[in-house]
Amino acid sequence: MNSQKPLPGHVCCDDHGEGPSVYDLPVPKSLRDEWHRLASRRHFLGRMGKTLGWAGLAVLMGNKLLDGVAGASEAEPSGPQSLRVPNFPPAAKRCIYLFMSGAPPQMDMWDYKPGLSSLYDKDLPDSVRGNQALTGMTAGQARFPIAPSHWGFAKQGKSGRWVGDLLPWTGKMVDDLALVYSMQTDAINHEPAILLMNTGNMVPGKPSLGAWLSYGLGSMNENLPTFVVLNSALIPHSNQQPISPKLWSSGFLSNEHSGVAFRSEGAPVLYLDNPQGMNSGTRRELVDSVNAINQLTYEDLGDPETHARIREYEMAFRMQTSVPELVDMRDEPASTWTLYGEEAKKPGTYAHNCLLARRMAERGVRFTQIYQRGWDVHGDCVGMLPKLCVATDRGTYALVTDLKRRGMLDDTLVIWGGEFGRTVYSQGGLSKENYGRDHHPRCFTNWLAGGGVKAGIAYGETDEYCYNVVRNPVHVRDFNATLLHLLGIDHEKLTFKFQGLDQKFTGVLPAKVVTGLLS
Amino acid sequence: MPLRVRAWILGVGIAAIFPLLILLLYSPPDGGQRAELAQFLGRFHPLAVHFPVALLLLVLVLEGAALARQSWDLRQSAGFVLGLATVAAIGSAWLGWLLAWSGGYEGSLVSRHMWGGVSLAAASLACWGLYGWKRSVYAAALLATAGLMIWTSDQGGKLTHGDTFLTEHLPRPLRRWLGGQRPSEVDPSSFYAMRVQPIFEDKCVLCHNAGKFKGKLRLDSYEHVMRGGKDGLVIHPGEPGKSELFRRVTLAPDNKDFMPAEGKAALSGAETKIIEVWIAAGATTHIAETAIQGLPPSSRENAVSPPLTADYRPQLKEITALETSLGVRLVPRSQNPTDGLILRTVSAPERCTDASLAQLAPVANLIVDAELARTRVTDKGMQAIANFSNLRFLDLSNTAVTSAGVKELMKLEKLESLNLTQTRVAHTTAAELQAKPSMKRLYLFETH
Repeated sequence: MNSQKPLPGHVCCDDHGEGPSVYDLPVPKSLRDEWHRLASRRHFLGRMGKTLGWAGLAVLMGNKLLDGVAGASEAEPSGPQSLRVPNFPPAAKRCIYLFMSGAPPQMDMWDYKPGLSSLYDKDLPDSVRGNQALTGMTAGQARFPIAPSHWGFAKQGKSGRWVGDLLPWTGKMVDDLALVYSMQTDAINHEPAILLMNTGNMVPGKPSLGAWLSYGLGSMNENLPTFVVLNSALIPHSNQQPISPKLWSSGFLSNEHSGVAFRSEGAPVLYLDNPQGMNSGTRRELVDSVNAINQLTYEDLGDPETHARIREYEMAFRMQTSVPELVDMRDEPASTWTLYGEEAKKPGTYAHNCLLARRMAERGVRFTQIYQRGWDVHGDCVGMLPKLCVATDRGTYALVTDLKRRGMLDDTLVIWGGEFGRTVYSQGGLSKENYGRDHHPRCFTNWLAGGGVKAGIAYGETDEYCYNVVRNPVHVRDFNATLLHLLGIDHEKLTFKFQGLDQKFTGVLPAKVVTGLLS
Repeated sequence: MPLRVRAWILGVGIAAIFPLLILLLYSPPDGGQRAELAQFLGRFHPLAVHFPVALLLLVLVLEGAALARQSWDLRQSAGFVLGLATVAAIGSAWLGWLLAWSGGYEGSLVSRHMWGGVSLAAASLACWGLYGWKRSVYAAALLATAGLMIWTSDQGGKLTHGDTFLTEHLPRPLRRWLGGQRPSEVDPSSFYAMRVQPIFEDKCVLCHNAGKFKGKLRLDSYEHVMRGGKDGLVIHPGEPGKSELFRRVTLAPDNKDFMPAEGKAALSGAETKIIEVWIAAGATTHIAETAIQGLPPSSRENAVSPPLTADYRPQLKEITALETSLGVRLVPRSQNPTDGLILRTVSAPERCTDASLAQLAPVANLIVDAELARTRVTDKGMQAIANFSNLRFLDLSNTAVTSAGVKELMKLEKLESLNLTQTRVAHTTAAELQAKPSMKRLYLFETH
């Protein structure tokens, strides 16, 4: 077909006169030929006929046709009223997610297995591992020697939960936490696993939890983003797994629902400061002009994403005032620094981000996610884990305690966890002094605290090898359904039609709210 | 037409109607379902009834036109059409009986319609008998038959579409003139509204609503629940065992009558128990939710919390106007309009002052949660807050309030959570507040 000669004349009109036509555009000949074939006069008329038919139908159906589509009509109020969310009064109004990217080893920090010490360097029985496919990193190992935790555990709090010695600060508040020993995921590698935790799907392109919350519950403070991501400074020598904006993406939801990532050094948000010679009034005029041009584009093309862009410009303008106030911590009382420690004064540290998260919670940011990378301890567990725990333990404790003493823990949900667990067998060489741990999707420990969470409990149970869940498994989608429930959302009801499916945060497989975790 | 032929035809007509009368008297429809063939034929009744209706109207038109134009041709045609109408009426009446008898119908509406149908067949036959004799008697009979037809069709229509079908969207003045009634309001705190209706809404209304009333049954309002469906009543007050609705939801799931049908989520044991108890207690809307004890608590998602405030929606315009003028947000706490509003100031806390609080008086009773942290409210504003009679959660942290102002809050009978972090409230005052019976959580961090 490509060898066919281009037909003379214009796509739609035979008599286009002397002026330039689309055929004068610098496009490849094959593409021009294709245009020609596709858009004959007959096609044009046929398509116009269909368009008229649809237009007629649209008039007949009126707005009824569009009523089912969220956000289809501009006149509809956006947010709670149109989506009928929250489905019930939420236990928690806002949420802070402490994400330990890389996957912390559950048996070194939370899931105490005293029986393992007598199994040092014994082979993990094949019956425990079953037919599991291991990662390429350990599948070739000749044997799977059990590595008991290098650290001790102690009973903490009134609830008497065992907490690893690596977490002296968090241990003090174990009565405020609901530990979930029986977390399970489908993925054994970081990227799919971290996507599953954050977006409910191992394939990129789905909205993250924060985006769903922004879409469903809307903003509390119109001068700050609804969803903020804080990437903490790297811990030297730790094994960093990359994280990327697809973890806080809005997926198929409108772009304004995606997370705004603050930087860990320098200005938290780039280009918020006016450059030299630009004052706020000029900036306002600039934004107004850009918005007017964007509005023209919208009227031309009708792409709702253009409106999202306009709203983002507006948000950025308002953030010029709200963000400097947010990050300026000079108004914090002395008690704050006593609690968080001097480390929190250093922008970009995990502790600093925890304090920032509390300040954002006060200012109505719906969802804050703090990432701390470096937990991927394939080797040198004994060397690295203490550094990782020192960097995060006190900040975590300070955040929950601070929220609690300020009366904010009642309506704030705090989540701590990674994307999967780690193996009880050692990756690489095992010695009395050191070991490594590979990825382990079959069980890991996360915890919840705050609004609507049953405090001081431990949920689920793993076997004596900390390898398989033996009681009350909590799949990622059940965990996510529970998070939505605590925030007032029925995970079955918050949907968005995309690619022919009523898309949900928890995906298409049935998910259930873990009622055992609810107060 | 020779008299003998006419008499013969009349005889055949009477012979066709008489057995139907006997059947109506001795074998009335009783709600049971019968032979497949009878049901199959009976379901042509809604189709067939349109013939006698249209044909009888055509007779009227033809006779009227004949009267006006003195046309013999038209009068001749009227006789022929009347004959057709009579045959159609008798046929439809038979089909109707088949449907009623075999299709599980019962009740007074069906009886009235059936007697109407049989009478109409007989009246048509009589008209045909009188045709061409005394014109005045014939005209009177024809008009009476037409009236009977309209009444009978109306009964049939009500049977199919529900008896408010015609009047539902009657213009308001006309309705008032006709004295039509509006659906009564159900008390939102009744057992029905709080426990029973939510079950219907959750599990049943997908197929039994105004747009899709399977089995002619709607379960989206009390009136419709009690009206029943094509099989008659589904609720017999006081008798759960006799109530079709209860029977169907408690059958074995593989039974073909089991509801919800088509593999939709079945009712839980607790839900069927609630329906059973409600029917046993008389299936009214007058029993208070609290009057029936010893029931399993409704599951968390479906729990309908008791109304915390009045419905905010009637005041929506006022709410929007206040939001704009005061720079605050008044956000519904959930999709349930009686869960109250959150007073949210976090976008511009500096704009919220004592004066703003005073201006919120018209919606004061709707506010359940007041987020006033970091605002400019002072002790003076507490007097306005003391009138937020449904207030349960109050955050005054980082404000200039002192003990003097906070004492006003003693009046708030429902207040359960009060945050006074970083205020100048004295601990002695706090102790008084703590003693309030409603108070569950009081925060005094960074106070003195």
